[in-house]
Amino acid sequence: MQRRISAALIILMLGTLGSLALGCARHPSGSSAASLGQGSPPAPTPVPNPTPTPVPGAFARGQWTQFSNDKRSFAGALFVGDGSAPYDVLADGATSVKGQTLQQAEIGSGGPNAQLAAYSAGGIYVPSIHQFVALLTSGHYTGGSNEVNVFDLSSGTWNPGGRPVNPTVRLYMKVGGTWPISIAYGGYHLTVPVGLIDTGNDYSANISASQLGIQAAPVNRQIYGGIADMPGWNKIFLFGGFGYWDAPGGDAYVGCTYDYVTKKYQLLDAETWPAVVRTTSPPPPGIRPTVECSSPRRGRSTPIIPVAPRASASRSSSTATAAVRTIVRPAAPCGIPIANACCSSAVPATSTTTFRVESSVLPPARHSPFPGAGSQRAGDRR
Amino acid sequence: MYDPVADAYIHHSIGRTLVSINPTSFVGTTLSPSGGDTPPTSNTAGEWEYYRLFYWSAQDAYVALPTGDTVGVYVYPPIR
Repeated sequence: MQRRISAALIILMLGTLGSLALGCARHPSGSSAASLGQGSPPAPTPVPNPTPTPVPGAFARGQWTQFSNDKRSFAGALFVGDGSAPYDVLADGATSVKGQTLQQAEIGSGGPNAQLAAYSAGGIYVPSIHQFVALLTSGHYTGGSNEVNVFDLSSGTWNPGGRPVNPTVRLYMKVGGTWPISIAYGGYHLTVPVGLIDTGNDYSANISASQLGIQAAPVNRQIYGGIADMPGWNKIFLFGGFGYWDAPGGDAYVGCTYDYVTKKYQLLDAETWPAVVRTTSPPPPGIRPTVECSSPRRGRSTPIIPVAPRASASRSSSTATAAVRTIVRPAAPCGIPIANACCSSAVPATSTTTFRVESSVLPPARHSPFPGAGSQRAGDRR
Repeated sequence: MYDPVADAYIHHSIGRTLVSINPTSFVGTTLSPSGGDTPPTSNTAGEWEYYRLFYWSAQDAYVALPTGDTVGVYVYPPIR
């Protein structure tokens, strides 16, 4: 397993040679009904390899041929809001997405071409499914989203089965905006979070719990070459690049995957990521969440991990320092598989999530379908 | 991208133009098809095409998706 993640990192690093490193984020669709990955990691399932519709030799040799059976482009395949929840307004609660792409609602610059291609691979071709998968892409100040769109070489069309993943609209802010601390993963870097916590449990169909059990979607980024297919695992791996609009202020220093079979993202937050060239202040070496449940009858049931507070400062409406962020939210009804939360079947309850930044120790991962994640610390496995 | 049949790196620069690069000598050879369709040019003369130029083994062809406004993709099966 560890060899696989190492191999993926090597491939990625080769791809990013000459580029900057670090980054990741993502989120929801309407086509997947898979539940959250709370159990043991599923065994990788090979993807069927259908025969492409164009027969071999269908294109004249020695010349370019435009190939499209729907006359659409990436721009035309992008999500456009229709006003329905949870794809209606941005995280500020006021900016409507109706009739717009997310980039337009965010007032990102450069249009879809900049979103796909400004210092960004925009996606990657996956030979096993004969599709170019466009995801998690952004350009310099261009905004964008964590939606997934595919160009299918077998049919010559974009999104032949519908868009695999719609954007986590309610978790996004406009270009230049500051994220609510409750949504920014770990409460860090509020202009470019490394992940977007699904606070409303709106997008669970497209998010697998992170290795640390957080239901968070990765954020789009200027990918550069920081993307690789993981054949046999049915996943695309992303790491590095400038997050969202904020180049060079933020970087996607936590790796993530997108499973093109289950249509789910996963943040790989329990891995130890290699040190790379950075242009900004170092990221927290580890973010450790704990969940505390409480109710009027029972009171607190789980102690918060004690931490040594650092100096600082936060404008959060909840408890927050540079070292600790605490999020309190209503508990979800029992039976809804939401990571990093409590449930309540009868009495009002709250879920309190505390993120602790550690300087040297990462906790063991609970479980993960990602190769390399396991019950040991990454450093111990190497 | 890498062409596994020709054992060459392929760069798509402007319009129809391709450059085949010998992986040993790193000498580049320009390919300029005279016919066929003309793909758009990605930003900075192809520099930003990244993995949107890839090899399609079923057709033994290169596929380019240069820009966000490109309708469909452009397919180039090289002469073998």
